[in-house]
Amino acid sequence: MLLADIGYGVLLLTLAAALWAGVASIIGVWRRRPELVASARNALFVTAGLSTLSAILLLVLLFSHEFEVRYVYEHVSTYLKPAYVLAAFWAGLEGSQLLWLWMLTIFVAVLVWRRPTWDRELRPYAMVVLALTEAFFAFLLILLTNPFELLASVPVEGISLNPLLQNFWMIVHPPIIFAAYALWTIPAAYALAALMTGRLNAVWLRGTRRWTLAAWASLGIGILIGAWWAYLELGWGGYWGWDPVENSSLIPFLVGTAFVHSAILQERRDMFRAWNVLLAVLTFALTVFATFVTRSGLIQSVHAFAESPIGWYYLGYIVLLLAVTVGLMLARRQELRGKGELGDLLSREFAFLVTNLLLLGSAAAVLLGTLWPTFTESVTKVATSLAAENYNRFMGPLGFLLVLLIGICPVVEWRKISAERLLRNISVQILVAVVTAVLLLVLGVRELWAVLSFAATAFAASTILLQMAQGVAAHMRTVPAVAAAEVATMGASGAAADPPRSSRHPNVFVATARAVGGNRRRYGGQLIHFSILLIVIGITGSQAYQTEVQVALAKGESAQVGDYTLTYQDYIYRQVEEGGNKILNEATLDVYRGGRKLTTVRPEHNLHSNVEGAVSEVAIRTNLKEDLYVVLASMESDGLAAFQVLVNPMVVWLWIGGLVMIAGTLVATWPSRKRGEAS
Amino acid sequence: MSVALFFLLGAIAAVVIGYPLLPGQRAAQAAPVLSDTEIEQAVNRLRRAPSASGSHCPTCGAVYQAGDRFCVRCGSTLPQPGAEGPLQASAPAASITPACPSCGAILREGDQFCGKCGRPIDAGEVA
Repeated sequence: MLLADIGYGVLLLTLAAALWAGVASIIGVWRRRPELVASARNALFVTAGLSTLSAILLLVLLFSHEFEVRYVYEHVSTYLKPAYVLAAFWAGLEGSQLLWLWMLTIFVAVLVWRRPTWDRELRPYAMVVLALTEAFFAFLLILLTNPFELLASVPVEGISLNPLLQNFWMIVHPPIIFAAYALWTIPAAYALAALMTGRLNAVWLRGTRRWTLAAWASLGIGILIGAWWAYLELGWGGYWGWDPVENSSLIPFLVGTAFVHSAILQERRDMFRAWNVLLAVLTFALTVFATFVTRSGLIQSVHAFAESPIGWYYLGYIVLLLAVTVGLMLARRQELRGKGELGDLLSREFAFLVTNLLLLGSAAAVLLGTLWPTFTESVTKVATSLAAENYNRFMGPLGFLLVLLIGICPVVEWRKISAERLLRNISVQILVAVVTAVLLLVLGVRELWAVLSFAATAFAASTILLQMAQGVAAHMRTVPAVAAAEVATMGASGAAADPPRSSRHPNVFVATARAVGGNRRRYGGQLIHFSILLIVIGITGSQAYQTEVQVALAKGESAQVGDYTLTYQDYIYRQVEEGGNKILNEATLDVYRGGRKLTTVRPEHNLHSNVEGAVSEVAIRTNLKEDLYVVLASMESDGLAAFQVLVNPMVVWLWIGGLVMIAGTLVATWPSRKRGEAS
Repeated sequence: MSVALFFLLGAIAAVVIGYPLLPGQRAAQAAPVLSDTEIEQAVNRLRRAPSASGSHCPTCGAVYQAGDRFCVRCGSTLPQPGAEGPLQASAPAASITPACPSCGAILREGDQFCGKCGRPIDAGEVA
């Protein structure tokens, strides 16, 4: 099989080039041989080119249904829709490993493409870490997860893609998650470079800020899309089940969030040098750990990926990475001492510290909860899994405190603030929170935790809006300096009948644009905080007020769920599709509210030849207030069907929050026109 | 066929990677530059080291050698360059080396006090 052989050969060359890049940059910096560093740089371009070639080869094999290749046989079929053939690329272990390597090599190539500026000193050292990480992934692909492995005989048809993965969001979710994992390698590599060179001031943090934010946002968006996929495809009415696979992405996200915040503290106040280095490396290590969790079979998960010895290689890599980091940190303990001091209990520094501890505490709690069943299983020999309520019990209060801090942090001053001043700064916000709570109680909300959560969200949101309003108001009062000077000259000559347009006070839109443009990092950050609040609203609403009804209906009958009336109009029973590989059962229901027809929904309950049991395709009607979520649970030959109907309030705010998060990240990271300005 | 393609790809990769190592290319690379760390270290070394002619005693202005704790002319205590820097006799060993009777440090002609321990030195002891 020519293409598969070439693919494997390309992987071998990728490994060789990545190893050379690592070795050449080590020797280059050690022996002061810039031509070796230049050669290593070219080798990194070569790895990007080669891994792109192997990705293209795998795609060609998938689309041309070359079932002789095991990966193609296991993940596609002749009847699989072309869009899902693309999803099949990253549906399995081998393909997702290749995707990871591909993403990493591309990002590294982009990084080293630009001539070194601020990172002239650090880059060769960072290149060592990046190249060796590439080599590690290429090595695993060659040794354990070769996507180009051939079968002994050529099957006539493939197994096809798991129907649960046949979803639009499975085309985008894995690339975003693996992009995030690959992006987190870059801050970690620079953290190690800073340790190796002893240049532990804020330069490495400032320089990698954009990469870090891109990594953070991709991970957040990736997790949200994963939640959306679970909501659409798994058919249990929820979007988050505290499953080990979900947790293992959330843990690096929480640690990464802590890093993004403590980095600000080092930039502003030269504090937490050691902390930042450790968090940058730890976040990356935890992304690798996520793969270890999902692939080692160590932890029971409903996602149930195939077990593979690859997990233990990952564990070895993590141990090595952390050992090197801790060793270097001990060697550099002098340089790791920053100049800043924590100062007063009522200070921005302290608020940041508390935020950091809460984020790391929640990460540690989720990690412990994920590993707990493994510990207990090794003792009691009974496979268990920690129930979602256990997670909610500690993540609820931690989330509540974090939301409060979003509201408090921006109004606390650096170094020290008096209690009276702090209270004055948050008096309006407290008022808003109290009014929200009272309003909710009057409206009949009785779940105390939901009232608290909404009140805290209102508190934090009012801080963000007030700060935004203050910024815009300041710009509305300000006349640009140049125009003001013009007016002054004209006034002196006595000719100023009508001041020029530009000298007038700017309107609210211009002022907003100027405020945001003048400090994009700040307003981008606030927009991201706002997106978190929207997500909190979505979580609180959907957790507090889910309505669930299970009902069996014959054709023509109706059921009442909340305000909605569902009328079972028609059905399709056991319709054979995809050449006998899919049996479709579909119900058609008209949805009414207040006597007015809103829409028609068509939930499905299908059988597929490649999986055991039936797979539900849920039907969802979304608006800003709530989702109507209809699951077809089963169907008899006469059309008698069992439905599970849920009304999930405010779920859509999770996804809107995701969009705002993207917007905020773009505002914060968009390259500035001013040269040399690190954003 | 696939083997031939493998070697072709390998050759292309080797050319791209090896190109900066070609003899003609070395000159095109930026000359090795001193790192900031090295510059800092060099500056610190210079700051700590006395000038070529030695530093001057703050009391009497006499030139003293690195490592001296007391002025060889007036006997007053000399400023020390930080806590580090082990004390060592830096004077070149003469053929007949006169030593301080108190601490054994090397003395030179004209010294009226020992540079190391501050003991007054008689003219005859430095003969």
